Amino acid sequence: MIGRKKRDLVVEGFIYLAAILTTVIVAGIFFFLFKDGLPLFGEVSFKEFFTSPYWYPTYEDAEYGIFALLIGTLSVTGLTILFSIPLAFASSIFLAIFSDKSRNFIKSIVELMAGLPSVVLGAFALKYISKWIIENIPSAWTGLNIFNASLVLSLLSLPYFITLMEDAIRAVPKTQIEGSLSLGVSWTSTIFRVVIPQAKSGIFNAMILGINRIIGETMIVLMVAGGAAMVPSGIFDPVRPLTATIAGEMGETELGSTHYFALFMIGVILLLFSTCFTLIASKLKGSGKIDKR
Amino acid sequence: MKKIIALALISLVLVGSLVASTIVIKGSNTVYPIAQLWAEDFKAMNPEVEISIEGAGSSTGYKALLEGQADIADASRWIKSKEVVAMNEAGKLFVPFIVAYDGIAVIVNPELGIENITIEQLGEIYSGKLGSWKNLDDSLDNKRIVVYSRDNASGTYEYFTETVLGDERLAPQVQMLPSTNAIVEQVSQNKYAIGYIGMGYLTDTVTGLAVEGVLPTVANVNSGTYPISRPLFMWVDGTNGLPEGKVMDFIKYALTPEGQARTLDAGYVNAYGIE
Repeated sequence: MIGRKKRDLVVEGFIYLAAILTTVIVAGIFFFLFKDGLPLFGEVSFKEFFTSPYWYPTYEDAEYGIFALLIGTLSVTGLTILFSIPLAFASSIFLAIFSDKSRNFIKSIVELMAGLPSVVLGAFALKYISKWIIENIPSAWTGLNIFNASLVLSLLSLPYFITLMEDAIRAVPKTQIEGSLSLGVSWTSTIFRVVIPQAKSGIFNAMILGINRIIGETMIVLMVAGGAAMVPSGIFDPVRPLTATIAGEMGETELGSTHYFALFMIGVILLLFSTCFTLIASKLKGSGKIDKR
Repeated sequence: MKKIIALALISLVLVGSLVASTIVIKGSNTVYPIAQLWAEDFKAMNPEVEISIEGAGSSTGYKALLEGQADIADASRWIKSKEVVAMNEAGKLFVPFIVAYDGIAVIVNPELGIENITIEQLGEIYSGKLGSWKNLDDSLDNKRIVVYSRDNASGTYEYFTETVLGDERLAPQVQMLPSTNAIVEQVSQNKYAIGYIGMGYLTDTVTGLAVEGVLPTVANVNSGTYPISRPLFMWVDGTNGLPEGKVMDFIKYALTPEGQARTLDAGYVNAYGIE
């Protein structure tokens, strides 16, 4: 028989090992992405890469400008935020404060949404939403565009937003809400003056984690954002976000070619986005006034 | 004693299943549907053979063949010079078989109302010089031409752009979609869309245009008059002579009259005689 102490030590060691392993893996991902991305700037200038709108990686006189792709990612993400955050915010307030019996039902629907495979949503958008857009929106010349992708991405990201925001709102002490109401303050004022200020950092945290998720989403933008590497002039123009470019082109790229380095550099940029957002999120959480109890 | 016999039997079966050959086919997603039909037939005749097929693009096939990770590389284009260099450096020799012909159909929405297009017009559309259908034909609506293409990882993309554009570039507003189905779907939804697909994927929801007056039909590809058609290949590693056994049997089957008839089932065109 091993003594209790020894057993604890083994378990402790295992836990440490697991934690270190995770760190090593993340560091490794950073290292290899940079290793395969940085050689790009030996062949393409920094300025061309970030400011040229011409993405022609497979031509004789290839050009590797990601400006249009970057705008693609930002526009799809931006519109998704516009669609989903107000909706998620309202739903989370409802779930946290007003729902009673309906809560479990709505919660399970939200959880079901979270489990929807993105490829299924994509196929649905390709067939039905796209058709609807062409038939009903006169200014839309193609059914695959920023609008369509953002709509589907909103569906995908709503569960994240709702769950995280609801947690933030629930963390506001009930006594404060009751106190405010008992002083004769209306529900509207209570929500905007008492609940939201208290839950602010948690709500921001939810937004940032959700945005992180939207930027990284690949399948949906590959299928329904339209795939055109152009700088859009409206929400019904097609775009080719960064993730879709990697997914669409990596399979055919020769190892060690400029195109290959460029795709890895795009990966680096996505990783930097995600790191920034994660850092901001953890900062917010740290300074948050959420009562952990 | 019985146990030993049983063990021996089990190990024999195990060894047997290891020997029972697996044919690994990788490469072009244009060749994929026809390779799959042949694999079904071949498995029906040789139940002990396992066949795995991947269709991630011609380049992946050549790469897999070079690295010894595939027995057969499907390709919808000829081997590139840099792939030949890599092959030479590895001291290998790849051997091609033409297994079928593929015609690329140019598709529009049936409501658009055109039936013919020229290679030159296609070039102008895909390079973005012709913005509106009215510029193509005065009788058409003054509406933006919505241009669809396959992703640049697709062999169909390479062949099509080479044929209609030469060295010219695809316009930035051309929409690159990851699958043929997506293109058919979009063209069938949008009256002003144009796209191109392998003839095997033509459906009656879209119109396959005549190119230079020649319709995309099996007969026209076979006779060589349809301008956008190409041979499809299966490559094998012939460094030490042609492969023996099931891999070669598979290719032989594909080239029999029976196998060639299957190309028509997949919407392609037979390369050799069928009965």
